[in-house]
Amino acid sequence: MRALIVDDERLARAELRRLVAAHPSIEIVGEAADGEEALRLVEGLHPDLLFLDVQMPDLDGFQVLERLDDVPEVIFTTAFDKYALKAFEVSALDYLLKPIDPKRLAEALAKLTPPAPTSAPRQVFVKDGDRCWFVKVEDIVLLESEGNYTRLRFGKEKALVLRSLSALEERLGDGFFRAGRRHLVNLRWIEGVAPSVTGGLLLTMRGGHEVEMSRRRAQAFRERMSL
Amino acid sequence: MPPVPRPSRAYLACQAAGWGVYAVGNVVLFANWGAPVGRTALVNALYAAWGALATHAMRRRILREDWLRLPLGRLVAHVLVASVALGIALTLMLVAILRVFRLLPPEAPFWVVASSTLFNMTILSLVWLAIYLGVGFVRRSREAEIAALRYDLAAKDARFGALQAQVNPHFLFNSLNGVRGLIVEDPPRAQEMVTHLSALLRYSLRSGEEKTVPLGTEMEAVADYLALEKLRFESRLDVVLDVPPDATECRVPPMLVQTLVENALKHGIGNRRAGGRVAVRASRHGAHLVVEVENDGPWIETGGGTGLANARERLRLLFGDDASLSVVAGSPDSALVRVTVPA
Repeated sequence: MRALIVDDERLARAELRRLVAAHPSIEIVGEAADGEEALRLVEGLHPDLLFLDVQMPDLDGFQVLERLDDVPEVIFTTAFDKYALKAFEVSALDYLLKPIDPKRLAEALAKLTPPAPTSAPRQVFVKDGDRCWFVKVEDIVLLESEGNYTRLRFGKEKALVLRSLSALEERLGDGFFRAGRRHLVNLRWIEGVAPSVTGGLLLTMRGGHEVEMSRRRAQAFRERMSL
Repeated sequence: MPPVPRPSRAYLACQAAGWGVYAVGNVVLFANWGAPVGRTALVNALYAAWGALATHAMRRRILREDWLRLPLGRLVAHVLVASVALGIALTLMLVAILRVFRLLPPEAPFWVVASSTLFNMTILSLVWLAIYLGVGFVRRSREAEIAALRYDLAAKDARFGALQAQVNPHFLFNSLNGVRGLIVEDPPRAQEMVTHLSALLRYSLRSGEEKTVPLGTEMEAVADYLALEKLRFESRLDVVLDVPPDATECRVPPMLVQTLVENALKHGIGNRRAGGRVAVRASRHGAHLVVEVENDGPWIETGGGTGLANARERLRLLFGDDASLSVVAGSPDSALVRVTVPA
């Protein structure tokens, strides 16, 4: 796996590099000293794994993830940060406490699954207040526009992200269909389709959410599905 | 029923003195009117002893029923009834004694003597009750005041303890992580850093023991702290320490300057990719010591701002209005925090 180390301290990066050297399956392809550099390197190098420091000047670890279109596997590293630890515990994200215990590092790496070669985004990072998630793209049921924000529904959860629905539509790609001005649905999660009173269609998503489609969008939907 | 406490010495002395003065006064007065001194002395001694006994019984009742806790209306009612009851008890005894010793004035009708005695004895009882309860109330309010003071003191102590700055765990573990790396890269420097870290931790752990320390001691800890931060910031951190010898003996709360320097690094220099300079300057101005911490980088009042707020509160608890902590300059590219304490 190709990994990128993100940490604002040179000594911490060097130390992690030495620790990872014991794991030949992990190749360190780069190091970033702050959030901006991390964004550039992730877009350029497409690593499979990020070792990500939570506390950094300007952009912190969470903010970096929120800005990424395609989020690789992430292992957080932190010295001691009450708020971050809380987020980790709530969401069961994997994290390593500095100084890093080599055994804990081995356990965290063992949990990673080798990436399937694909060009589509694998997962997105969603943070809503204290809670955060890595959401697999195929698990997203429905996206609803809420002004500048978009509400993501996945599993039994929902979260607000600061992205427009159009930006997300562009990013998520083929498996999704724009059902109207306010809704983007995952085609895999549609359970039922019925004619609506206005002459369009009424989609029922697995999990019970209903989305109404205008006559015009229904026409596009029929064309798309008949292919 | 609450147990009745043993009478205090002061109570016994007051009872003895009060009834003694009453009896002696009576004897003197009657002697002036030409009454036989021997007999009036005996009568008054008997009567005073009875009075002391009767009021002592009243004390027992007051304590049993905890009159000091009664609402005002009920207390007044109790006192009025009690003074009449005591008055009757005293009157009966007095009239009996006077009769036995044939001291009743022969010319006055018995009921006139009895009713005027009852009136006087009731007033006397009222005075006794007023004195006894008054002393009780004063004593109880003093005790309450002392309890409140003690409570205040304990609360202040606890608050001070909670405000006591400690080494920030995030800094501690980052430093340890850095040292772990240095052990491979530069062993002598790693040893040096372990020494700095030990000194700083020891200072921090002991900082709860004393409310103030000499500025010189605090500055040693600041130097340890900055040496460790240099490990993290590397060439990004530039340090200026300017503490003249006459300021090193002045006393400051432990970890105060350290907190300010940490704040300067965290919110000022830590957010600048190019790093910057932090300067600590101290000077004496008459009866005051002024310590300034200046850093490059913007002034950011962070969410809680707990570091500075705690430092301010600690100063207030220690020195009241004689100390201050203020953010003097909040320009876009430098920040200055000034602390003034009594020298």
